[in-house]
Amino acid sequence: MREEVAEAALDLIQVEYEILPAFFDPMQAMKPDAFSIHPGGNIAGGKPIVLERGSVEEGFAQAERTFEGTYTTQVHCAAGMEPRVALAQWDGDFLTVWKSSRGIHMLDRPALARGLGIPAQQVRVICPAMGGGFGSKDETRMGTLTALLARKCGKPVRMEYTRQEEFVAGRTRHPSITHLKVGIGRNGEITAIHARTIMSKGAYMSSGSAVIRRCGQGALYLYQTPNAKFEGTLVYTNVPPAGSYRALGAPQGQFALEVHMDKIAEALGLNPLEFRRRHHVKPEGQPGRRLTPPGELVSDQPVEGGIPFSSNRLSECVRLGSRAMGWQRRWRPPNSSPGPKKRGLGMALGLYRGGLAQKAGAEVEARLDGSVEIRVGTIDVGEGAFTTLLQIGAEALEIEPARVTILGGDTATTPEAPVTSGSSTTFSMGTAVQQAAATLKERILDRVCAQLGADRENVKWNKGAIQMNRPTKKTVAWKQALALLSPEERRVRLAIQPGSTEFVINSFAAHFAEVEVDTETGKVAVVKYVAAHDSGRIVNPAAAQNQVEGGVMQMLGYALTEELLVDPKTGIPLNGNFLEHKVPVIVDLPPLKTIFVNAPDPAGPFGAKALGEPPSIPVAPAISNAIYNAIGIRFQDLPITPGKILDQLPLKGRG
Amino acid sequence: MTRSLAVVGKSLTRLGALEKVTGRSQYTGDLTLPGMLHAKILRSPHPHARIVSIDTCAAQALPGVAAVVTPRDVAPDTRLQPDRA
Amino acid sequence: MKIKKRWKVFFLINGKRRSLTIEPHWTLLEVLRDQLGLTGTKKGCDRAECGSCTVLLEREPVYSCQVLAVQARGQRITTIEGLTRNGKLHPVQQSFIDHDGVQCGFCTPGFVLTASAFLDRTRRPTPDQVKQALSGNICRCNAYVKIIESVLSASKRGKRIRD
Repeated sequence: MREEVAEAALDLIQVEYEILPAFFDPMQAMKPDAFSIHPGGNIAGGKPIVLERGSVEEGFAQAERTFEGTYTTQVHCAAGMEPRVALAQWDGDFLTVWKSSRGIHMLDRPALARGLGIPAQQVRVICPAMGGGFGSKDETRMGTLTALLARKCGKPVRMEYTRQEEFVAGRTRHPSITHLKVGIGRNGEITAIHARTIMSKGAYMSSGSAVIRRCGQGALYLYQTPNAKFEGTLVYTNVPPAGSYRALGAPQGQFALEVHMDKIAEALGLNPLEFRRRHHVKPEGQPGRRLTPPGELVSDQPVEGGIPFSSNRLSECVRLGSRAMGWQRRWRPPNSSPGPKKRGLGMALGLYRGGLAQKAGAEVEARLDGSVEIRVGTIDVGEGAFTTLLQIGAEALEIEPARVTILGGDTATTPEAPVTSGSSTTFSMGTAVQQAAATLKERILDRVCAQLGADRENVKWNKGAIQMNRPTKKTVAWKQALALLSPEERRVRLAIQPGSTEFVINSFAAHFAEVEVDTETGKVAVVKYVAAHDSGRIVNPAAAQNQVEGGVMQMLGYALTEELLVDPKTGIPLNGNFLEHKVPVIVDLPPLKTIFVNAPDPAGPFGAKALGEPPSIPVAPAISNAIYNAIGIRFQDLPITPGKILDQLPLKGRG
Repeated sequence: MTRSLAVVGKSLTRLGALEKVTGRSQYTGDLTLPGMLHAKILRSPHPHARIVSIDTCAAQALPGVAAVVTPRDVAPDTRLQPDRA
Repeated sequence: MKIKKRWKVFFLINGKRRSLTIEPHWTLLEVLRDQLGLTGTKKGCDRAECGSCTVLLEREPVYSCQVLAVQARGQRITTIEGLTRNGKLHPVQQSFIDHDGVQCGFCTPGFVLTASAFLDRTRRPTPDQVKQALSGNICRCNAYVKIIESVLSASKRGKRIRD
């Protein structure tokens, strides 16, 4: 009821529009003579991004057989339970905006300063608890609009999206069309992988360039080959704008890749498991020559070969996951189960950035009352990042976690921090917190040793208390130790550049699905699901399991039911709501087993690597491959709905 | 890493869990400020169109309406650009 | 016919009598959040799809976005804020904490209330019964495995004696 007046006012605004040609299909929008949505044509940036290792042309020349296929994915909405909301208040020339966000320092603050024409120092952004981020909610738009209105009327202004606005005017997962060509040599080796993806953007760039880049990483890096190429084209259209959503373009790209590899395995007469075992990328990385100059940081989504991974336990994921599924024992050739309900097993691998971000800052302060506060400029988007960071901080300080609190999500009280993206928080922010906490511990030890006239070798740190053995036995309690430090000394603020000059840091996964396809109704039931992950050392097993289970479930919706339908004639979104977009509910939950290799990565904080997004990557191809195994029909277009299945089933197959 | 870990690797209770199960957790939408007003966006009914004119007089005159903003309220160089937003 | 524009009503909210003046088209959700400041009840969709706004009306879970506040006048309403009695958590609340049945937490009040009403009726539920009972609530973090574990565990903690 609070918005009644504003809603009524909307009806009274008279707008005269000049209606322009609209495109809902990127193939139409890409045509050279198509009406330009923005100056410069409808291909964002004017041309595709092209990334190549070796030469796919040479690779295909060496191939004995080549395999081609086209794969398409739908518009998919993140649909966090909390609709986007912003609240703005001015105090003189100083602006405070509260909003759901994923980057208060790096995204919202500069965007608000630019939009309102004030210096960034006069902008404070606060993100309280977030009702689900999933990589979405990265726009500043609502903050800017509420700030403008608040300035104009001299009062705080709040704006909240309706559920329909959230679906239609939020940001979606880019729909995609991927064409894949893979060359197989005489000895069964992969001679070349060439992927070309076209993504429909809507009319705004949003996070598009990162999305398309991430789409190509599977083709470039998941399978061992000297020659790999990705061409990604982002096309402006007039569908609801796409942006960033959990794992950006990786689910689209790796859906195409992993269904394609399944087809190749069959054509070569190999079990899908065996094919992948042989060809997936190994710890030594891709063949080829390192192009990054020595001493420079290596990208965690590289194109070049010749650089090993910091850790790569994909083989372990495959081994543990397949064993939990009973793959060797239970796998049957496609379409071999009798009766109208047919079961099948499918698998897919996934690879993703290990968690590198831009410069990451953290502050750790110990107070005289014995409490420790960690301050981070990131947010907890609902995944539990603050819990993980607190654990890392407490571990580095070697004190009871109950003494430690964490403050975040406020530009006024925290050091600059990167955007919550690329599953980078644990790795990058974790490293910053770890180093700040470790620095503080060293300072305390130094100061206590100086006070006692003790050598560092003769003191022991015991949960913050410092025990001296020589020359006399003595213990300095935690609070006593802190009292020896000045307020400045008790606070460590630092910023680090995360990454490695020697290694590629990636996370890995192998997923296994068993489905039952009802050939009379076209309905797919997931009977069992196993997700095996290498995310380095797991910081918080319960929260990590929760992340994987949630990611798998969210993407079962992507695989089987979810889609934002856009009317092909009018461009009007038809189903901007939970029910008709068909998000999974609790009754859809299959028996789900999560496995972590849980082996420490040498580069990550206490051995941790990225975890948030990887679970969402192999789900759709694992399901498509399992459906193939059940009924012998390939589905290369998501979502795989009962209607699509019935359309493909020969009548005789139906019961 | 030679020493054994005491905190990392343990399923510490999620921070904020108590607040979340008791309804005390504050999300942006739960905040209220004195005198706070409420805003809505008028959306185009067309998938692609250019605004020729906007008349906000009647909306502005509606009792209870404090302000209406349109693109005119934003300097052209700070308007939302296609490469952002 | 004259339409009554303003209604003076009372509710028994979380055991307390609350009187206020409302308009006939206001939903219970709006009154709880905007008039009474009980923001633990969440607006996720406002169209009877997600269950984030679940409250107990005479001990039965309802979508408060679909109940007009005038319809609920004089009735007993329990919101998430009222589930904790004398500082003691309801067993379902404790279970959601212990089993990590929470991610972002936005849907949590709705799940907790639905589960508490369900466990009042069903002493030793099967996992399938739990799923059916919670099928009207959406968790987009999809923390469903942990939510089921939480509810099953709460069912074993023993029932809290109702007032």
